[in-house]
Amino acid sequence: MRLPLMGPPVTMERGPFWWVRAALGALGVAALGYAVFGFLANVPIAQLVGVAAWLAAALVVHDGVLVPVTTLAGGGLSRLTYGLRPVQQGIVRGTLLVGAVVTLLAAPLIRAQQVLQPGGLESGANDTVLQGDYLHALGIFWLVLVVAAAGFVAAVGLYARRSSVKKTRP
Amino acid sequence: MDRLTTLLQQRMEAVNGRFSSRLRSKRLTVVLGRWLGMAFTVCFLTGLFSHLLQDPPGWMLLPTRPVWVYAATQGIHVTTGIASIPLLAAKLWSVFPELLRWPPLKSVVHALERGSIALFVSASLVEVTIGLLNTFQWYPWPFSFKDVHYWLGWVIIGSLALHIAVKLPLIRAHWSRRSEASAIAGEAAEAAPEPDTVPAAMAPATRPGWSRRGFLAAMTAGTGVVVLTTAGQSVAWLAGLNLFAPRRMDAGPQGVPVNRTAAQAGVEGAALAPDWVLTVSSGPVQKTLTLSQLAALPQHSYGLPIACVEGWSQGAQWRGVRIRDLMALVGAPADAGLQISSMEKGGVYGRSFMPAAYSQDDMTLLALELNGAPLNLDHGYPARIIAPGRPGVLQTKWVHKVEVI
Repeated sequence: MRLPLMGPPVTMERGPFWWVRAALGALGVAALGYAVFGFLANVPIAQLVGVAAWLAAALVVHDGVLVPVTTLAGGGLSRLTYGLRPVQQGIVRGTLLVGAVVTLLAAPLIRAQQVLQPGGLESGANDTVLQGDYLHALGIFWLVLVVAAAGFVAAVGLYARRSSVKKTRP
Repeated sequence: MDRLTTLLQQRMEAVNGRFSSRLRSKRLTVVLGRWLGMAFTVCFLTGLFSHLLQDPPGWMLLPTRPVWVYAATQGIHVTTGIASIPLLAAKLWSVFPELLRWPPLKSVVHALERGSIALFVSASLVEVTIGLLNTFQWYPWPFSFKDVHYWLGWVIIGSLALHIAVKLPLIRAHWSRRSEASAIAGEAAEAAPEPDTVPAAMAPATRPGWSRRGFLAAMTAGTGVVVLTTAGQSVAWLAGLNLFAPRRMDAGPQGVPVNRTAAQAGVEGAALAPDWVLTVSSGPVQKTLTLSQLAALPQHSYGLPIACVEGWSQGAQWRGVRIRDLMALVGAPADAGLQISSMEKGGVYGRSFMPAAYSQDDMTLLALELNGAPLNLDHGYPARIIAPGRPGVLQTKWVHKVEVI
């Protein structure tokens, strides 16, 4: 099966900003070419193989694991929070999203501390790096986040019930 | 063959349907893309500045004022890089159904475009990951961080420009809510919507509770939290919120963090040796100075930040001999550059070059004291370089030779 060179053109017009697109595209291709040259000229072949492996692994881990898992988690959450009001569902999702973002940043920090701490796999002698108690901080952060979110969800529920009671008894 | 591809297409569309969320829309992608594009551009420019400072080409203007210029640009580089991690995740999530589109390749040009996007995505993911781990001084990869981080930066900025060039009509159509409304109306007006659009993208994200705005607010909050809880390693007034940065301000010997200890550098013996002398040379003229002879020279004291490529910085009071005075001692011309040698052998720390822009500067010192006391061994005892606006890796410690070149 042969691939055609180009798809059928949607329109024959060049569009109002065609020259911006052409300039950006040319600059982009030039920068990419410079990067390829830079890699070949400065990075030994054995390391280039490592770079290629990391690039491929990043795609597989992100597209094959991370996004499907978050999508499934989002679907599961819809079922779990089915009885809640839309605003409350939004609060729950927002809370989990913020928590997930912070955990994504803190998890490698905690792992690095385990690997690099004295007696760890690659222990270093510098105790001015990674000296915080990150696991503890992450735990407290989640606790504060969950308590605050629970408070908001409850407050929204209470407020909504009161205002509906008021409406029925004018 | 045809039946097989039809079957595959149906399967992919089914999977796509499962993955589609009413939240995902072109407008969301454009909003996130704007933020991420700005973050990547800032990262690229500050990173380029840092790279050029470390290996300056002849034409480069080397700024020494304000003295915190490098502390600022590198703090911005690392903090923006951290902020781009959640933005990148959200941006990629918003376009995930594109990945499953069938048929995967429609033409050679289409294949090239998808290839460039795959490169863009993987380079971005690897770049932010190794950048973050570098700030922890953790290197679990089989390549040189400095080279790969730099050249991946060029890959990213190039594919970013290419990506914007390809998508510019879509970006313009969904730039603001008004332009989006007219774009959707225009698409709906055509009898058959172009086969290129995801059905979910057409639905305006107005579901109550978890709307596009709610999602964006949560993303902003998450990004804000990671910025505020990490930027304290480079911004003094955020130091109190520093929960998740690898560095703490005012921590370490004499209240200043250390990047490389004397033990790591293997210089403890040589640095503490009582017969240590500093050799200053210019061509055939050569002088040696003991620590007490150096201390007898005119001393100057300046408040200068030490700022590391890893993003942390720390203001401190340094006291010592002006490099200018040392050069005058051996009759060197004022506009000469220097080669500074450490007692640490080899590597990037063993030797540094100091262009005239720094050697001429009043504030560039061979420091003997830090915050009112003799230098701690980990800070470069008996003598170290401190110059305004330079990356920490060039502020050579445990100096034993200054050569005019």
